[in-house]
Amino acid sequence: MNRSELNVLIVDDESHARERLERLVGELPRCKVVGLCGTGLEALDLVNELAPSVVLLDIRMPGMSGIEAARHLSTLSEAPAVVFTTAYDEYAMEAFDTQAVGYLLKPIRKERLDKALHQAARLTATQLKLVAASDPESAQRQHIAVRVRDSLRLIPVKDVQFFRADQKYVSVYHTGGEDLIDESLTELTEEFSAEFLRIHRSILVSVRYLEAVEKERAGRHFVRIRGREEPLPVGRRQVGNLKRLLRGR
Amino acid sequence: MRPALKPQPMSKSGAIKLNDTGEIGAGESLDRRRPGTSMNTRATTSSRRIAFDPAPQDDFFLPDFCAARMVLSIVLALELLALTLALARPSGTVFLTELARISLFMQWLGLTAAAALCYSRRWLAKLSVPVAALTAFSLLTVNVVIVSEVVFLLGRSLAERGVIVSFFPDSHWTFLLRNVGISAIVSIMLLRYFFVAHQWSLHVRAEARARINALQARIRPHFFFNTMNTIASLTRTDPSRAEEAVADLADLFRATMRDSVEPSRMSEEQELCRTYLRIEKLRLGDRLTIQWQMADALTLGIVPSLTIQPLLENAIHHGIEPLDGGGTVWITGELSDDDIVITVTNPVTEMTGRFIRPGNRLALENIRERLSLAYGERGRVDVTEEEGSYTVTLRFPYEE
Repeated sequence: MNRSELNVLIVDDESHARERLERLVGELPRCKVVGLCGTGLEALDLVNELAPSVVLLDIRMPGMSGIEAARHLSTLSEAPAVVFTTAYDEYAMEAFDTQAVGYLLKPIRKERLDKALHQAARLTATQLKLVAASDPESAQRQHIAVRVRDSLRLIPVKDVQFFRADQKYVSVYHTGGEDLIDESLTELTEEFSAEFLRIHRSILVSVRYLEAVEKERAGRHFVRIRGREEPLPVGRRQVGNLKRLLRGR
Repeated sequence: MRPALKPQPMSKSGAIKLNDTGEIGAGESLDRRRPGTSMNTRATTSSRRIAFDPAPQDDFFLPDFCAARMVLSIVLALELLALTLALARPSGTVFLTELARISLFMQWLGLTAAAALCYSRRWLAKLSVPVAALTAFSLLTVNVVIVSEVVFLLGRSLAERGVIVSFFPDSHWTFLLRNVGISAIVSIMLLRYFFVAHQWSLHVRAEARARINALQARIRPHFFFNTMNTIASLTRTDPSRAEEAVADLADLFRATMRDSVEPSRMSEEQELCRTYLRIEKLRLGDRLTIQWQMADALTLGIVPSLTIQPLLENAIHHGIEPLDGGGTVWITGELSDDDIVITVTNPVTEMTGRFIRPGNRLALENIRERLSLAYGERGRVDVTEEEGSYTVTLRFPYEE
């Protein structure tokens, strides 16, 4: 990366907003626009491809919000610095300030943009989690990021059948296979409490894929997962919860 | 009683000029309209203000005693009072005879009093509250003296002719003084009651109006700042569109800032919606498609201002913006059984559905409240959610 020049990627779903940012960045000394795109998903691809030093990321975008995109980016080893841009997001604003996360308010002033770009820093996953928690639309990710060498692969949460913790890692089992992720089961349980159920000390199951509960002769319970052969064990304390849930459906 | 905020167009004649330029036909997208025509339409907007009296009755604390319902209430109240007085008579008197006699006298008394207040109300309304109350009190007292005297004289003249009717009082002064005493107490209580009830209704009305004002002023900040951003961008790339966007935004804000209890013509409200949609179209480009089908029969109708535009704002904010490839907002308006029926439909996905509620509900509640203030039970807001679509339906009586 060239120290004297900042390579900037612009992400915004509105074309006029992109155009304006492109022009403003172009007018700044030692700044260069390397790419433009309109969604969070495209942004992740372009970061892989272009390795920008800073990403200007709009928060409210269709598909994947800017905050979620930033969370996925933060898992990269060579993650770019991120500056959020927003018209008005009452929730996230306070968190930005307290977490020292860079953000710009639209319409953006040139001087502020200049300053923000040069002060922009890589965001830590913790910072982002706290920011996301303050915004109801971003509190829950819609994708789980899996690192494949240097790039990211995204698994839609709705394709995830269950998470299983081994000694060191958490594996995510989804309709397209299984992958290792670097997250804790406790945090996943908390984040996806609306759609996932902890059925065992080490297993978090998607309610969407729950098929049936079975009882073995020895008295232990198992669940069957749609699209999976092997049954999953149910912790003794979770049996009641699970039955209540299945009855409620 | 009539709903307090019922729209009352005071002048139906003249002043209201309607032009029908730029109706958007079905399937025609907004940006195909010529900028020139829309500017012309807007130029006449200000001359189309419609006078609106939020409270049909004036602000005097005495109610209208000529109204049929009021007369009925008086008759009933007097009958209750007569019953009380008859029950309070010492034993030894025949209850039903007492009741009949007291009732007859009191109904005469009450109806003449109502007539006196009915005719003098206009004149009393010009006085200050204490003077008016005192005058009304004197009127009621004079009324009771006159009626008592007439009854007494009638009884005496009948007695002189040899007809003795036990109905009539025999002791002149006791009769008169008792009546004046009872009347004075009841009149004071009644005047006090009317005054308090009036104060209360004023308070309720003021509160409702304040709330409407507060809620109405809410144009989503998100929309405002994004629009400013778009304009900032256009000032360099397309100055004439930037100029138009500034004018559109100004019109929109003017509409939200004017007196909120003033209703709009449907044509005016529609123009406002189009202004709003033009801005959104500029901002969202191909992501936003509008299907607009408004019956021409609605144009002269009256609608509480800013009831339709917030629905569009909701539809775009919650329905279109979160959609990857954008989508279509459907707006229909028709006349059905003398009611104006407006529907706004936007797509919903599993993803957008999750967040549609909180902000949306506030705007819907606001509209629901305003329609019911204006039209009572005849103003309705219904929400229907079907697979993949979310529809809000407004229904309220057609008035010109």
